Amino acid sequence: MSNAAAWILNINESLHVSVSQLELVHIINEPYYIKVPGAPDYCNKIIIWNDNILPVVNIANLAGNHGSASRYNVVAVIIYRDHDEQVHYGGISLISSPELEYVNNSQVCTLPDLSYLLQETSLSCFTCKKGRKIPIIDSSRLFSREYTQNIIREHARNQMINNET
Amino acid sequence: MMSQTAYQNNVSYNEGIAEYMSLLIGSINILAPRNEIISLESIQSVDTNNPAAESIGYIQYEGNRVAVYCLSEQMKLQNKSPKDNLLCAILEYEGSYISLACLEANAFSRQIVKRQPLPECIQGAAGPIESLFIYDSNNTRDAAFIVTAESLARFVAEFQHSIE
Repeated sequence: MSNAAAWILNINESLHVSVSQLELVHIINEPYYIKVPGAPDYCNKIIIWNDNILPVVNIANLAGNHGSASRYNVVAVIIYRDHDEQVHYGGISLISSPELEYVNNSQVCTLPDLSYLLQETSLSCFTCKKGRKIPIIDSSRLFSREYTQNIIREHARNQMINNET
Repeated sequence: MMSQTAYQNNVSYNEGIAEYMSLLIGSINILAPRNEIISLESIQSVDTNNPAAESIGYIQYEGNRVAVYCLSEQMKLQNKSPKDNLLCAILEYEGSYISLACLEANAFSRQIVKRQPLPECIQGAAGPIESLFIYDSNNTRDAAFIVTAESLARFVAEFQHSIE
């Protein structure tokens, strides 16, 4: 049975996700975040890395957890391709450095009970050595405009439902 | 390059000191291309009677009634200007005029390293912000937000369409 290497990203104490080994290209400790006014909460920060502006996604926010920004003192720099196969970089906020783990097909499992928004950007899932269910993130989708538009629509829909009740 | 507060009526900026003007919106600085800013007017010149949808009123410029818009720090349109706003920057794009209220306007004199489009996941989700600049700030890198006359007009049109 062949093994594949995956980075386990510590989003917070109760949520971990993963990307493949080759998708994570750099780790930034104590990043300097710049807030983008008006952008949705989950992607309202950018960082400058190698003279490039990178969007930084807070996956905890997608899962409905809104922790203090100061907790996210690590950014995982992810490389991904858009629909046109153009290469881009994006960041994912973490509370600590990621861990590399080798996984195989026997570890495949069903997705844990995630928010709809997080399910929508999860490719599949595996059980890590610590017994946690780890969704594998679709980076291209996570950093796409379509995904943001879905989130904006979902928030607007929830707000309408809240206003009606 | 020099940095100066530009608070004068009918100031024309044809002589290029800096490529961009920094407009202060609440506590947020946005940059607008200097060649698009054709005049800075006092907000006291705004006629608040019968304003265009989501605007705070009109201002006269060379015989044209120019709609004046006001942004919150969250880049949302407001139909009332905070008292702090002192100026209206009138921007021109392809013969059309649009105006934006702001606290102050200064020449942006930092060294620009790179202009970059908004990251895809933020496009269309950050109000009228069209692109970003990386600039040098005391030997460290920082970023600034660019709003053009076109991106502001497009944002206003989309917002008006969304509430129809």
